Amino acid sequence: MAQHLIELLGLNLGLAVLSNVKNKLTVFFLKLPYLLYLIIILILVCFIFSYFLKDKPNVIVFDRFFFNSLKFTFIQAILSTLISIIIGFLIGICLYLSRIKIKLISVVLNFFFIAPVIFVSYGVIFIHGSNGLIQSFLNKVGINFSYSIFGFVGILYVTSYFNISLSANYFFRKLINIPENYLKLLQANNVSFYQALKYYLRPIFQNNIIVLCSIVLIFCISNFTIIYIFANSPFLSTLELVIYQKISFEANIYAAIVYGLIQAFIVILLLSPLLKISNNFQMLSLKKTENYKIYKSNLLSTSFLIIMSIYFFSPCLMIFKGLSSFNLDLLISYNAIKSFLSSLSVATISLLLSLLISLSSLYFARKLFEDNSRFKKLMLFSIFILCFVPAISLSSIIFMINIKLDFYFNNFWIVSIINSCLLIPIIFLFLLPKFMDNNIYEKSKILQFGINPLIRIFKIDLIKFKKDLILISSACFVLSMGDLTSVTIFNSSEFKTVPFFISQLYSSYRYDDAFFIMSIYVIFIISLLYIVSLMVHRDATLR
Amino acid sequence: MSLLSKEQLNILTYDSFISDWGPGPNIQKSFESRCSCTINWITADSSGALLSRVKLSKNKEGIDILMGLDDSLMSEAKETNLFETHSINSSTLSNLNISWNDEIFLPFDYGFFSFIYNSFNLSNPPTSFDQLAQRNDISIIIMDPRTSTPGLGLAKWIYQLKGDSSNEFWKSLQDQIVITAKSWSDGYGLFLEGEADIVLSYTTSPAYHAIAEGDETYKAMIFEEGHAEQIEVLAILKNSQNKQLADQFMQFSISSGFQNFIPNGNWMYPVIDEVEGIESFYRYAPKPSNLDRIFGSTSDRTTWIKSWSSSIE
Repeated sequence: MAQHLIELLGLNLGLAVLSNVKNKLTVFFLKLPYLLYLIIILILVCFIFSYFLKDKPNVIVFDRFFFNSLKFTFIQAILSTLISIIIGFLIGICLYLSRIKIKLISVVLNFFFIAPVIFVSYGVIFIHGSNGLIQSFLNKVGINFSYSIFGFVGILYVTSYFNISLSANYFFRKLINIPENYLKLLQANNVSFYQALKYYLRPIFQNNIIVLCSIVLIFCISNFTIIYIFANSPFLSTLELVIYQKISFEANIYAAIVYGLIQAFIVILLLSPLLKISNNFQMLSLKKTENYKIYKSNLLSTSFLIIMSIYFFSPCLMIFKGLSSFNLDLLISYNAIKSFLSSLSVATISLLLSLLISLSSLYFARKLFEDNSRFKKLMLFSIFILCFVPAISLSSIIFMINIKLDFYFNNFWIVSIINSCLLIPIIFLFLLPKFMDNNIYEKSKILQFGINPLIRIFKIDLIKFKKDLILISSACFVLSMGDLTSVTIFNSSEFKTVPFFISQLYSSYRYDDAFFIMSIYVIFIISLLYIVSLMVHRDATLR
Repeated sequence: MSLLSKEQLNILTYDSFISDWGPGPNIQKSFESRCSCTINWITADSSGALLSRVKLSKNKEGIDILMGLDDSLMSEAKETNLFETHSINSSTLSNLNISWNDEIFLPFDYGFFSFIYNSFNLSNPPTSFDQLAQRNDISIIIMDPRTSTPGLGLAKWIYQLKGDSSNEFWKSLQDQIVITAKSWSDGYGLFLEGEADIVLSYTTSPAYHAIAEGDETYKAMIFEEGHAEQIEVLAILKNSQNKQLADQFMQFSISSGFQNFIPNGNWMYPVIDEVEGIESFYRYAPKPSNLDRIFGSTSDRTTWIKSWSSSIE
């Protein structure tokens, strides 16, 4: 009997050890993608330092162009951020008061945020250019008034376009997430919308506004294509552009890295609040599909919404201009199809890589927060560090590492890796609120029932943020398809993406064909976002 | 290597050269039919980026030939010591009007910088730089000399004509310059969108509009003081694995099998006379009088750029 009991105890102990080992292995494999990512970051950092130690640095000039670019980078970024936040706030309110379906608002705002920069830029020129629709109309009716969209005004106008939609999305989501009971209470006390905004809803907006400002500021600082198109003077140049010039035309990688580090350092100083998001993770999560309404739109909000709709939709008229140059032969040409397939493949691989690393990072981050580890902020920093480094500097560093590796990675993989590096912080930030939702309660239950970490991810987490995951994945897929930064450095006759194909048409005098392909590409993006939105809203299992 | 596998020639060039409408695909077909080899194109986004790419990688990519370098970058390229001397007799380049005797670089096409205008909108174009500077009614798109070879070409052109007074000349043009584009394609695209009256380009640009689009309204301004030139060259990299094949391609580049595709593919002048269908091309892109050729050094380039940057606000 005693022997039998010992055997049973031994078996139980063995099973417990086995289960413990299994749990530890699962945790290890869940952390593995993040750890690999961390190794890549460390390699990048080591490479930068070794590069300076081993080789003789080229002359790095801190001339007036550099200081001017540095100054301009931050002036345009801060101004664009202010414009974007203020107008985004007003649009968010107007959208909340309107009767427009949340589903539609969501798709439209998402599209404006991720629309290809080159498409919006030429769309704006199509409307506001010297030969644009407005100028043509003024000439026709005999009004002698001319203005130029080029220069500082144009840069602010187009940069704000993308970021206003991001801020509007933020404020709109904050508003529709206000609990119904709270709204009923306001209604019962006859509180007007203005009073509600001023006295009761302000904390809701203030919560995480610093994070929103930080994100918008990062996007504005990394301005490249807009400056490339709209700058009408040599002094209207951002650091990204200077870095591009240093790499592409002077082969001065040292200057590119030093300039990149200077920008990263200033951005880190400015954006240290981003690392304070540990207290509240509600950011861009969408909880409701329709909201409970007590406030209605008025003439002012409707008029403002109409004006802003014109601002947002008018560049989309470019689609009609592009389609007017319909060219079936070009559309079904070998190179057009190949570039489309390359873009799809790069976007798929980039998305898969970034999802894998982001989910692993989210899991790791949550564990650190649950354990109240002192490394939690360091972990967040390791994710956001890629936001601070200029994309072109990152691309050139990876290019140099690949040279050291005797071109071990081909262009396709290099572009996919760079794209995924740039997507990781976006996915991480977007999914973090849902991942941390209710985590303290969950943690106690998980300990109580001994739930395997893998089961927690697939049976609890995934169900919680399935909808957000699909939405952010579609957005990142589109962003990755449209990326041109790394493709300009890494391409060959065998590897071309759609934006690269468009740029080829562009440098071969074929502007109408370029606009046509661009229009088809934008139609594809809109269709993709619409299908995803339908999927998300139709599937009842997606909360 | 199996008996059936073909040798591969890696050529680095700018992206528009190998587009479906550029000369690349036809040149590839033509060369591959003679060499029992395959061409692998590697591209950079502009002519200026070509040299940077081989400099940064010290040609670890295994590129055999670099094609499309602007002549103003030749001296900088030679300083890298990455290029091999060639054995081609280049004195037969009849259409280049000079005896080419560079032992590393071989020209494959050339063009003259010029301002392009739409004759429908501008009926009395200026015939000299001084006239242009006096015409405040004419808006201009130029390119940034730091990021674009035509931009650098204009800086060279002005410096060549005006010398030490080029700063003052730039200042006199300043109010007319409405856009300083970062690349030729952006600047030219904005001109076609109607953003300015004239754009910096090549005397050959009207030939594209006339031949490919049937639009004869675009013309190049011909200046009586002469036009600066851009010669595009190619060279073999020192650590090329296929030097014999690379040499064969160099020889091929100045033959009609290559040159036939330059005028109506790259929209530049061929370096030899014997080219098919060249008459119509010259009808729309007559050659202007050219200034003395200057193959600027790195410090010359700095001087040209400085004369622009210190004058423009």
